[in-house]
Amino acid sequence: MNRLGRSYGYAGITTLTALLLMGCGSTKAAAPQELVDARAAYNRAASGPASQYNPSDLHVAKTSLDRAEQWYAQDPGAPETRTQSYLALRRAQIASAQGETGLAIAQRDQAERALVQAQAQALAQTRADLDQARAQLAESQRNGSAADERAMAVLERQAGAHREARGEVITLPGSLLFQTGKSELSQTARARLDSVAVALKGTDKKIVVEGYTDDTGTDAVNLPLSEARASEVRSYLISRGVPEANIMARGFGPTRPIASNKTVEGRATNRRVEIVVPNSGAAEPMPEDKPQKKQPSQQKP
Amino acid sequence: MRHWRSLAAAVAVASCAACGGYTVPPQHVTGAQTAIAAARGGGADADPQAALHLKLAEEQYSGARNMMSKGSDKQADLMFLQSQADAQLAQSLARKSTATAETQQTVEQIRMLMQTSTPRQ
Repeated sequence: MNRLGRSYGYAGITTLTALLLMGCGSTKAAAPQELVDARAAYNRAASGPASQYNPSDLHVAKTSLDRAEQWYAQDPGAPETRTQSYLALRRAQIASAQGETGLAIAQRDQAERALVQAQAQALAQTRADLDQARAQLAESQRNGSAADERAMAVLERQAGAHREARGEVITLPGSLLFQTGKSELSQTARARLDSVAVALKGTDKKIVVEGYTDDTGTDAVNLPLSEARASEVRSYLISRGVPEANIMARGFGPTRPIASNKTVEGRATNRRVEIVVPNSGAAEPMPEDKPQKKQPSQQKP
Repeated sequence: MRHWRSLAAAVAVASCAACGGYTVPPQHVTGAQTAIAAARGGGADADPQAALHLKLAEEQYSGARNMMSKGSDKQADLMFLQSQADAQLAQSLARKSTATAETQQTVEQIRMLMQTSTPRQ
């Protein structure tokens, strides 16, 4: 237009050029601390367990860091740059934490597998120990059975026992043991019972001493009398070494006669004490058993 | 870690010609709220590091709300984003703490089992 206009134009261009040159020549603003921290945090995350256990979170962190770098490149001092750098820092820290969580979970799973294996080994050891104990018990029981058989043989030989379905039975005549109507043992009875005690000491089985009477008199008399006689025999055998816990006494009165009560001899036979050593697995003798008549055992299991 | 305050101040000082027309995206607000609730529900209070970032998140959230009430929506938005990030970090740290504790507990169980097992002679 005119010389004045061209002067202002030249001045403006010159100023602008100078400013541009100043801009090019000046150093870039230092990265905000958040960006510096974000870069370091990302490097730590990338070199840690995140790359193996949480690569997706690591990728998010990288994307966030790249965004912050772009902002820094465009406008180093902008608030958005600092915010994006802050977010990049947090996302790198999240990636690290997630990676360490993944590592801890993997280690926990491995430890749980080891625990299960250790428990299985401990259980197998316990079972092996139990099997061994059972084998030892079975051996002991076999030895015990052999000992019982030897004891039964002694009973038969020394104490005059006879074998019935219910077990070994020693029948002691009442006249041998007691005076009529009494329950105190005679000297002859004691001598006989001494040999019985020797034979019974060799067994662990439960022994039953059974007292019986004939049918003379009332049950009110006979039942207590038979029980008292059985108890007397029991007490004597205990005093001669038979274990107290292994022997019991019961009175049956005139029940279970083994002979006729119509004759003198029969009544004498019925007045007796029986010492019963049951067979293994046999129940206690039932009232309806009649040993002399060789009936099949009707014992309940 | 606390230089978020200086960051918030820098954001507040910068004047932006376009700020008057800016609206905080609602998802940024709810995102921060949800992340804080998730962190609290995930046990962030029980771990020191996690609790620190949870508290940071809550403070930034409150600051953002304050910014919004003053009409500085752009600045508020940036603070909501920061709040959400801190809450998410708190949640991650809480999870890491729990996983680490479970691993240690299992390892201890193995050690005790080995101690009580009687070696066969």
